[in-house]
Amino acid sequence: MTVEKLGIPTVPIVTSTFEWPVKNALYAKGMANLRTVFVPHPVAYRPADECRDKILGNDPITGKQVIREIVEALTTPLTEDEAKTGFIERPRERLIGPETSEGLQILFRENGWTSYLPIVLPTEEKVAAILKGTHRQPDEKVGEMQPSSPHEKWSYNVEEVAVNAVMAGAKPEFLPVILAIAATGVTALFTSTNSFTAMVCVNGPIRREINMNMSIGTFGPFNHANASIGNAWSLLSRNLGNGGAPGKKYMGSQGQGHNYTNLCFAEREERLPPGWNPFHVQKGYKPEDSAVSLFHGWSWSNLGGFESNRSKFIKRFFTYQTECCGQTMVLDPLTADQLYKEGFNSKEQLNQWLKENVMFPQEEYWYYRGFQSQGHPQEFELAKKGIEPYASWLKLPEGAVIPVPRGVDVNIIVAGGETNPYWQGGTLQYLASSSIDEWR
Amino acid sequence: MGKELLELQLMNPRGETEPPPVLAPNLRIKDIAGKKIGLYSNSKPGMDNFYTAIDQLLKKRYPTMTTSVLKGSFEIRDEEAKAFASQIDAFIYAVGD
Repeated sequence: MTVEKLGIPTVPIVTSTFEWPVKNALYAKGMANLRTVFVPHPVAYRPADECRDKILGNDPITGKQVIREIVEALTTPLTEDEAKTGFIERPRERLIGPETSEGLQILFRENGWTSYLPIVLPTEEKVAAILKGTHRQPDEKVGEMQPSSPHEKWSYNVEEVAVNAVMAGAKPEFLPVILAIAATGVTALFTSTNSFTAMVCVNGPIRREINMNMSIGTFGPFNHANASIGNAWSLLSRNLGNGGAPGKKYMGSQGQGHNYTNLCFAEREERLPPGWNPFHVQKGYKPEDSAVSLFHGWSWSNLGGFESNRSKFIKRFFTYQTECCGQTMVLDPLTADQLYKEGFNSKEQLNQWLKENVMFPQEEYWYYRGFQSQGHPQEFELAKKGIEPYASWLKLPEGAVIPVPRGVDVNIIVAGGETNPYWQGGTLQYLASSSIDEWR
Repeated sequence: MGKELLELQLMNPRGETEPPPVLAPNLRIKDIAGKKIGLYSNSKPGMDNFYTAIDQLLKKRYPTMTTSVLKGSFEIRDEEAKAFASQIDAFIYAVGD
């Protein structure tokens, strides 16, 4: 569409699974009439002859031969309908109803405006009450959000965020946290075909003020603030961030159970080992500031173990975490203590050690996987010529480790109830931090 | 006499913004022959195979056609698009997974 708007006739070719997301994106950019050609899904990782067959085969949506459709899309003159311009009306009512409470629960659910659990109905009175949690004006813009580019970005104000916060069951004192999350513009419901996990970590004095859980059951269904703030993020991602419509704006093939309330928790700053700074301080905030930090990525695991050498186990875990999008771990304080005793006097020191010691698995070193792993094509050529050490590395079995550091950065946070030295970790990428104090 | 059910009005949780105006696509080119066709690869695995196939099949039918492939990030950036658009007559943009 960008190139089309620059005056160059364009034809998008899309795999058929993305029919609705693409049509939505075209509509959002004012190009609903742009001719699009579809091929059978998937194309990713498919060999050349299969790609060729798909282009010589038929468009699964129109039934026409793909190669012929591509040429026609670029050369056939526009029809009268295609050449039309104009405006689309999309009015938004401020109030919904009147209807019974049961009828409204059903309406909200069937419209896809909830997480399919009962909500707190957002009456004007309830929204006015929760707005007492912030000094900001109801009509003040908070931010903009989209489920991913190139979907349409929606913008929203304090009142609209408050409506979704009420639905999630939040109290007025939770609203500044929810506004801080909304201000980042980061969605909890990323479009990807991989079903992303989203995480939000709260730091600073507000954790205690609103009684967040950072002890036993940190990530579980055991705390009002954790649950309602996390759920509010999903609701506003759906209702204000143009997200959460399966098949259109959400393509996660299996979905992600975390998205009900996301991994919403507070860092247990009081139990950080000496020299270990809170996460928001690492991001430039003062200890007395309150801030949220947001993450997302492909995988998240729950790990235990009672090894004395915990750092080795962590290193081994991240060696094989090569999927999208980053690396993050949340350590129970007992695990953090173990690492401190091993000699890691700061989070930065532990991160540096992991950067230097997390190596490539054999397959990941050689194999080109697009933007996740570029492979090592030059080294591969050297290996084929028998040049060491590459030649020997190429002969290593699958699963072996190549002694080349991957340079991974690991986000390190501490939370948990010290019932055992466990930790959780995965490929979550740090996305943004935002001041909560600005929204008090 | 039946009990009357209380009816409520609720605030709308949705935030649809104003959609942009509807634009018409550009006039199409008359023929592929002799034209330069731009292909954009967002570097997802399989894109190279796909574009190789398109390139070969189009050139078989239109031997005087040429192609230019631009590789970049997930979505073409504005400055890349502007530079690329100045070099091509038409554009094929493949997306998907």
